[in-house]
Amino acid sequence: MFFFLYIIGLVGIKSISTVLNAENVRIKEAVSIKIGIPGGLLYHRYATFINTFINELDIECIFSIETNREILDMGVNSCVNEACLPMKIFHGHAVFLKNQCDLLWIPRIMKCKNSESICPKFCGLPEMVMSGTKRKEGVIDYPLYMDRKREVRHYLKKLSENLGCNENKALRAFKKAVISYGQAEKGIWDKEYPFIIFLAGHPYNIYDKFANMNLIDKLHSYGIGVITEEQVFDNNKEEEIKHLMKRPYWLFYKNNYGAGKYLVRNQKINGIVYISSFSCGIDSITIEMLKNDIGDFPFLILKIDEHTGEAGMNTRIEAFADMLERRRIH
Amino acid sequence: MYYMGIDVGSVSTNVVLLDGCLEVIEEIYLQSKGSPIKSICEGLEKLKGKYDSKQISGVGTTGSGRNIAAAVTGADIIKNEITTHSIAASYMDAEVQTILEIGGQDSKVILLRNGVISDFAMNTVCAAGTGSFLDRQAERLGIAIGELGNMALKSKVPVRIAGRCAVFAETDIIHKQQLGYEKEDLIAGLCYALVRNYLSNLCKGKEIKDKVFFQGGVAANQGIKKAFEDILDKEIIVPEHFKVMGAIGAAILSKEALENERKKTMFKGFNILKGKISTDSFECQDCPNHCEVIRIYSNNTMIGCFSDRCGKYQISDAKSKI
Amino acid sequence: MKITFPHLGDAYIAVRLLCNEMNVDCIVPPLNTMETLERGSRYSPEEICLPFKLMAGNLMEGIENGADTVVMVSSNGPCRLGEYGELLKSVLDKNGYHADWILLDTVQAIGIRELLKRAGLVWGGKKRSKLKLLGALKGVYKVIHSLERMEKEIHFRCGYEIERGRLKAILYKCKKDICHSDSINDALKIIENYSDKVKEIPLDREKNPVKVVLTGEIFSLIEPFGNQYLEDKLMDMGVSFSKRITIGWWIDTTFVQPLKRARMMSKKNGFLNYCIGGYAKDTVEEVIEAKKNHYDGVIQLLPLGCMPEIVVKSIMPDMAEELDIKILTVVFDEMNGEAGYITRIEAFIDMLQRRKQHVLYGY
Repeated sequence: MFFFLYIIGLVGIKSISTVLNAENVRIKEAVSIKIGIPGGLLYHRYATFINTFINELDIECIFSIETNREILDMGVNSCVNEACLPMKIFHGHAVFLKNQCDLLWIPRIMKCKNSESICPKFCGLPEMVMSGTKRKEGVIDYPLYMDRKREVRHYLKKLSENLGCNENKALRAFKKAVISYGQAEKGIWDKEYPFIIFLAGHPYNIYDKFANMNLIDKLHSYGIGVITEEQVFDNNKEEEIKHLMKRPYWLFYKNNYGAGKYLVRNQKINGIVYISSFSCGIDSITIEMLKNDIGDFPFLILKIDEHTGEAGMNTRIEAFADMLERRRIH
Repeated sequence: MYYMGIDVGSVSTNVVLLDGCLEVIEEIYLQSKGSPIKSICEGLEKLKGKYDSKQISGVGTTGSGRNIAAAVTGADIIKNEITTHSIAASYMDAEVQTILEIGGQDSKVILLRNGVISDFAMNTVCAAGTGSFLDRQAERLGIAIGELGNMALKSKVPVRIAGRCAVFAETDIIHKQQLGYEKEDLIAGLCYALVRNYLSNLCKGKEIKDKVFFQGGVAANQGIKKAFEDILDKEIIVPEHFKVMGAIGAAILSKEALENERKKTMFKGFNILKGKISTDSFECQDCPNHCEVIRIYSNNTMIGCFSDRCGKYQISDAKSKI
Repeated sequence: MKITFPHLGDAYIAVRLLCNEMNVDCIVPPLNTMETLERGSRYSPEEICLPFKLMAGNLMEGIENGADTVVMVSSNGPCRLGEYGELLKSVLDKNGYHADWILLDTVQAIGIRELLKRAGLVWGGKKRSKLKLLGALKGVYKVIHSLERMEKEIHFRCGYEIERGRLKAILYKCKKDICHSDSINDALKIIENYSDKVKEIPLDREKNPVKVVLTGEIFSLIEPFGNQYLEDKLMDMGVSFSKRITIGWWIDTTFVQPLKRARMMSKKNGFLNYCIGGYAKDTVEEVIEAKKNHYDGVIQLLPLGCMPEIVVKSIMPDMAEELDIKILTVVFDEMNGEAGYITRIEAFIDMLQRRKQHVLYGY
């Protein structure tokens, strides 16, 4: 009997607290929170997803502008020297948004699907940014485990609390975003060029036109088309990594290595261009493994950081284009 | 009562003499030219005629060659250049809170609070923020290093030189030179680039507070001083003895150390110059480290031994007691 | 079958004893030197971290000396260590150093059964008495721990030593003697013997030496070559220091009490609340501990390009300010000259010393 009363009591308290919470939420909604989304790192890849999600949530949002010199300089000045270029660029975007939004959204991606990870710096990104930009409050920094449904739900719940919107609405928005991301065209596959190369690297180096100095347009101007790893099916990549002693635990290692090997083995490409940022720990291994495994195959590594000169890059691309041309003749 | 300070750096060797009230009475600035022992002897030679060995009551050495200098002269204290620079600066002016030091091969920033070092940073890897980079570029542009500062001051529109790294900056200078920019503007741009490099390499996250001292060999360059003033928006003070601050600090420390421990100096006297100071080096084959061991002899007795990792060649009695 | 392995500090002492006890042929590669590094970096990718280059050098030397099987530990990311094995194999194969590989991976990655199977391979597939193995493991565990206990004691006492250099000499002599001992029991006796000697060294208890904590990336901490013999230098300078991350600590946290560590990792500390791989969170926690235990400063070590420690480095200024403790970060890479970093360490110790006097004299 007492037990029942106890239970009823508990439920009662819980419902009261829900009501209270709801009250809270309404107050927050009235204030209307502005969320800032830095346009660095994986934003390039998930732009469709993020845009849909934000649209569906119907909240005020400010995006940073495309990367430019000023953003890079701000990033370099606020980030530790040892970090890589994309990290510095992300810092720059965060500095740009710092005083324009109530909440700064910094994804802390701990795990991707199949419990693959990206890079330790992604797990500590909020700390780096908070310390570098001196913005300690108003940052969305909870961890995102994308491999577990429950964790994603949890993330959405927290996010909706912070944004002051309904949890179900957030869930609906998330689902819509997933669908629109699934339908969107991912990656690049140019078909109308005499040559085609596999453009490998992290998406933030491939799609950030400022960081890579318009690499794709440059390649096009030499008659070189581009295919990126998104265009290779997952099971093909999986097939290529089976012989390894250890299953790679980095998402982009698996993607680039797997796709690269698949494309080379099936003779779908004329060469590989790997765009990588200086001191990237993942690329240092991926490049070496790929190079060791494909043997004598045109392979150009372009390293970028904040002081890479455009002239040197142009020379290398031109020479690579010439080499492809000559290989075809012989 | 005189205290001697010797700063053996990679580019210059400085010797100073302070009197009992710690006023600078002698200041010698010599090029190291790759042979620190020779330049130490040269410095001592200049003092020898004027002073008696007995008048020297303390010797301190600093700089990258501090150990060699100590072995040759018999120093009372051997200190790193970061500490000596800060000691000298805070002695000159107790209100100094920031020291910017740019030397030939390295650069440092030292933050002082209440006269005590609270933080510092030192750059040894990247040459873009050091004097040798400036030397090299001056040479490339065909300008004497002494004129660099004055030329930079004449510039109205400094050229923006890209790149945070010496190699890339040089490429950019060549490029801009070929585009036909004025020499003055290029040099001013170079000064700004160096200061920007310095600040982003060393001063990130460090609060630069007044008063700011700028010392080291490069402080002679007015262009760099102006660039610092513009970028930091602060008054920059170049102390009178900016070139020899390290040596001054070492001399002050030698006084402090001897007074604290109530000891007499170990200075070997100017007579060491009479004897023959020689060095030899050999590659030790006892382990795969293959250390290149250097030994210093004075009249064929070993007075010092360096760069053996395991320390077995060094004169030490602690080991024999085990 | 002859096994070889890459160096990690004093681990070779333990591995050699274990193999001796179990009658497994094992070839200890020569200790890390400049030559190892040069050989290793000749074949390694340019941007990989220092430990990889040294390990590559070790394995080459091990294989040249007749080993045919490489045993290596691995992890499951996100730090680079986990991929080391794969890349090392690829690099060595390419350059004509062929060997069989046994990768001792974490339980999370391959499961306990596979791990035991692989560990069994190390014993050459022969059936060996499990009891004997357990005994040997226990013995080696004891050797590691008692050696480390002695080392810690020496590190702490160094600051109080009256005649500088004697404790360091004891430590080196002890390690040398263990290398020549044949059995675990002998080794234990030697350590006990030297531990007594340590206690006999006269100390000046009135002294108030600078006390620092060494922390940072695990390889740089454990392998003396990886930190350019920093510990020796601190001992020479008469600094009292402590270092929590050792091989014994690693064994404890990885195998003996993994749950304890997991629990620790899930705790928030206000500066870095999540485990981001490597030992980044440990580094942060050690700074907090150092403050609690009244240490004067912290020295963080990392090899160039170490991903997790870069994150820590970026939050160090905040920690230094909030906790009011001095922190020095030293980045090691093979291009660095020794002179520059010695100056920095010396200046750091000087700074701590002067601050201390300042407080004492009250001006």
